[in-house]
Amino acid sequence: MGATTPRSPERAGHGPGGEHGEREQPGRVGRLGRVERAGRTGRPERVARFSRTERAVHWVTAVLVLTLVVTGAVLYVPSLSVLVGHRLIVENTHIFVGVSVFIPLLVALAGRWGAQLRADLHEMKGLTPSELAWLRSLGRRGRDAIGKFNPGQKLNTNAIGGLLVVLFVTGLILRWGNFLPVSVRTGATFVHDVFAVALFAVVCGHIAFAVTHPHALRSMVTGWVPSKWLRRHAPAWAVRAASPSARTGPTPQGPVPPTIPS
Amino acid sequence: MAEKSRPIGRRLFFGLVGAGALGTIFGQRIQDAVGDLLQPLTNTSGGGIAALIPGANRFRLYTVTGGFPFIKKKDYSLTIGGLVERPLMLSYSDLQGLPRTELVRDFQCVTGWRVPSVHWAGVLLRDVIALARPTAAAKAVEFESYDGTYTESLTLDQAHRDDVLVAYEMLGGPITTDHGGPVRLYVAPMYGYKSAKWLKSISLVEQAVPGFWEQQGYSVNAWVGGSNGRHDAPIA
Repeated sequence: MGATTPRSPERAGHGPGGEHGEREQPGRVGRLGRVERAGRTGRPERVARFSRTERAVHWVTAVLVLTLVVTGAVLYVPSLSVLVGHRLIVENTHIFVGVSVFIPLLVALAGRWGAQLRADLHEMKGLTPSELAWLRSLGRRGRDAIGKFNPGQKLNTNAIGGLLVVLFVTGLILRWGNFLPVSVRTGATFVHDVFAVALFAVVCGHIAFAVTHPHALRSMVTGWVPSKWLRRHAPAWAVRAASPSARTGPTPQGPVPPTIPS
Repeated sequence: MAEKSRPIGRRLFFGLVGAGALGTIFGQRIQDAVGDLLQPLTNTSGGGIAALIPGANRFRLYTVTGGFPFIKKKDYSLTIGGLVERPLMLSYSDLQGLPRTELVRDFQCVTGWRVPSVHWAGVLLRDVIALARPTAAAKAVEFESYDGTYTESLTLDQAHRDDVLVAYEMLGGPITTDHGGPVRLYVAPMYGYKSAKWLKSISLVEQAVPGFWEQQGYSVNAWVGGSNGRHDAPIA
């Protein structure tokens, strides 16, 4: 991706805490991703939304999860079992992919390359009252409060994370839990079934939102969103882009990302 | 902007993890309740849409090959050979002409699902074997499926039990292709993988080669509740 690859703001000296003692770097605005001005490239102005690491983790995990959904459906839905057959191969694929599902995320979190991912995940933890109000009005009110990720995106991330963790653990119990009492294994089977159905629903919703929001989807491919999109979909994040000082240094009262007392 | 954020996202994450843990510990009770509730809807051949609800007691249809071999009743034949004095082949109508045994028994899969009170009909395996007159050397029985891959086995003593059938009826009608029809094995006291589908041949041997799943680590003596590290209620 060369020069167009967004670099994570943390490389310029920011922790997830949103400190704004920024070095003089054109096009860097606090926690806002790198801004690429119009004119320089002939493209409309755009902002870096996802780092290369984030995009890689997203797509590798997406392929793994889709494989799990498909193989899981074949194992679970009788008419698909009948259609596809090859139970041993499907089963082994499901198990192999299942145990691997967190590897991309863990690798991404482990090193320097995961700085922006860690910061973004940190932002996913909480919702402010205005964000809650936005959610309750189904996005009709309080748009101005929306930052880099809207409450729906935050809840989606946490839901998929929680569901996957439970599916991972119950899956291990199903495959290697012979030493456990049968009630626990039956319980794990039940939970695995229920959570798989829930994950399927959440993933379908996620894909539906992605398909109906092409700019957001494209940013998960290229890393960039147009600044115009930002003003509509992430105004609290975009505020910094509009600031005249954006290009040269710290914003006077840089919007501090929500920090959660832990 | 100084608005305080509440850790709702994090609560959702840990709430799901907690629900998963509780469900694993108490899930059997929930599953039993759901299963009983859906019982009238699911105890049929396919189980219908209700069978897809998690917790429903219903058959999962397994095949280890690419398809489900379809054999017409009029083309069906069962070979009995190996250590016998009189190797023979039985047609579907030959089997129907032999003394009929009916059983109503649960079907328990080693993966955990159990379909209660399934109606079965067929011929006792020991009657079929006796027709071929096994030699004194015969100590075990091997089974082959029409799918060309699946195999199973029993000791001769196990094969002589009065709850082991060469079955041609299941769930109150002829056995469908999905369920292993027209003729399958039904070994009531053992986990489902013993009950080989699309039964093609019965072979008397001195010592049996472990079957398809047994080569993957499942118990050869697959008693329900007494093998595979499981403690399900035995089938009676």
